[in-house]
Amino acid sequence: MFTTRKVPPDPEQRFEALYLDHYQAIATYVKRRTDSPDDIADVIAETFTAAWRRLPEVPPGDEARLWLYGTARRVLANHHRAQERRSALAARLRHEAATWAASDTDHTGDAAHQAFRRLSSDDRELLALVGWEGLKIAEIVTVLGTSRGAVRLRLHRARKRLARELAAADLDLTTYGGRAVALAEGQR
Amino acid sequence: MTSTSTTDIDAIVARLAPEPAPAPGEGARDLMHQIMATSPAPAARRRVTLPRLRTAVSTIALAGVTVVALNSVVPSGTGPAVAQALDIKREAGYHVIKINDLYADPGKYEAQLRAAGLDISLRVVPATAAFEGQVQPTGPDKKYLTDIKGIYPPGPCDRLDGCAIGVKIPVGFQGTADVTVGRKARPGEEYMSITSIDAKGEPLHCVPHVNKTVGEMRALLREREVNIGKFVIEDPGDDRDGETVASVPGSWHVIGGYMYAPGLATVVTSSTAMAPEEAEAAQDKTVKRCDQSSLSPRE
Repeated sequence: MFTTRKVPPDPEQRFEALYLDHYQAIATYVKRRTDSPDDIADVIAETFTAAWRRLPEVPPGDEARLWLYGTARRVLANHHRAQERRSALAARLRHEAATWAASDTDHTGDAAHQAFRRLSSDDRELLALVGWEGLKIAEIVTVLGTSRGAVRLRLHRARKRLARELAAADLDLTTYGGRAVALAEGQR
Repeated sequence: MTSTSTTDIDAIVARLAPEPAPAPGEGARDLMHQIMATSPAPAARRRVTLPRLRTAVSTIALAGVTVVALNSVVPSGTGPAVAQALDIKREAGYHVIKINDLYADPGKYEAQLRAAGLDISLRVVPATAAFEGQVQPTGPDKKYLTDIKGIYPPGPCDRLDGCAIGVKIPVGFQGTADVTVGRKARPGEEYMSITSIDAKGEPLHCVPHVNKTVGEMRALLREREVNIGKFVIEDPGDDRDGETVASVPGSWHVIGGYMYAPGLATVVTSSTAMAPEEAEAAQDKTVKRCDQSSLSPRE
């Protein structure tokens, strides 16, 4: 019989709680930024592997989610540079992720979607952190590891640029609310 | 910009959000357990991670009532058709289960198990050598079940988790179980069940390798017909810490590793060598583990 030493002080328990509490938020974050099911599974695997290995650094409570977003963001950025990487860990999840896109609404013919796609990836990310992940500015500061002033300014500019794109697309902006029209026109 | 118009823009973006991912399912839970089993465990200090890697792996392997090994190993493409994916018999108060077809659709297993009155899902996954024939029965809460037992033949066993030849489940078993069985991988197929590269049954069992250079490790593995396909960087000083990369300098040092597909290893590396006492401790651990390997883990 192999002898096994007890691992103190229950990192497994803490990791399980962290994983089960935040898996869905992180999987959603990754899914919304990656098209390939293989990449989705790999990035989730790599993000949580980093969390396991750096468990003592992961902050408690909901701050952990922000830490994980920040890590997932970095993993995604690196992953896009090395897409041949495939995690040995995520084989089954990869298989499941292949079915996830099926339920998505197809926005490709949507002019607002096209306008959004025309923004820079930095602008899209800021707007998505607000509109998709529902983060507040202070939380975005934590995820991006930058200053509050920088986030406010960049977010302000990103919103303006999207409003401008929407206007340029000659959308019937009333679909989206009169104030969006006003915002877009205010930028001309 | 007014805050209200900001809200409108944000609402437009929100409307474009793709659907959320589902809550953690089987694949997500698998991943969670695999991360804990195969990655160096969390530690404030890097150098204590390797023993923990092994501890975690051993724990996973031994905590289970883990069992089994399989009746037949390779599907016969040209042989006579296998009538049933499983062979289920009732013997001495147990359902005795042997897997005839390791590559069958899981639905076939389930249908047969249900027909026998068992609420059990059976998955057969490609596994590294140490875990070929391993069976891990877990309940809905992901805890290992002790009611479900393996059937072990007499004689020595050269794998980490025993060499059982079947699973037996008490006839009165009322619960729900998820039983995972490791099978040999097909060429090129990645393992879904992996463990440390020096575990019993793995290529570097009883072979000192920790703290060697990547160049030396490559030679050790090549002698055993294994190539290094990936490297994991474990180096807090490197901004790629924790990442998997295709190559690292041959002068880097080995912390550990695991097989991820037939003939292909992932090696965990650092740019710096371990302190001598740490390297010695790691070495002792390998030797100790090796000495114990003449014992069956079931004894």
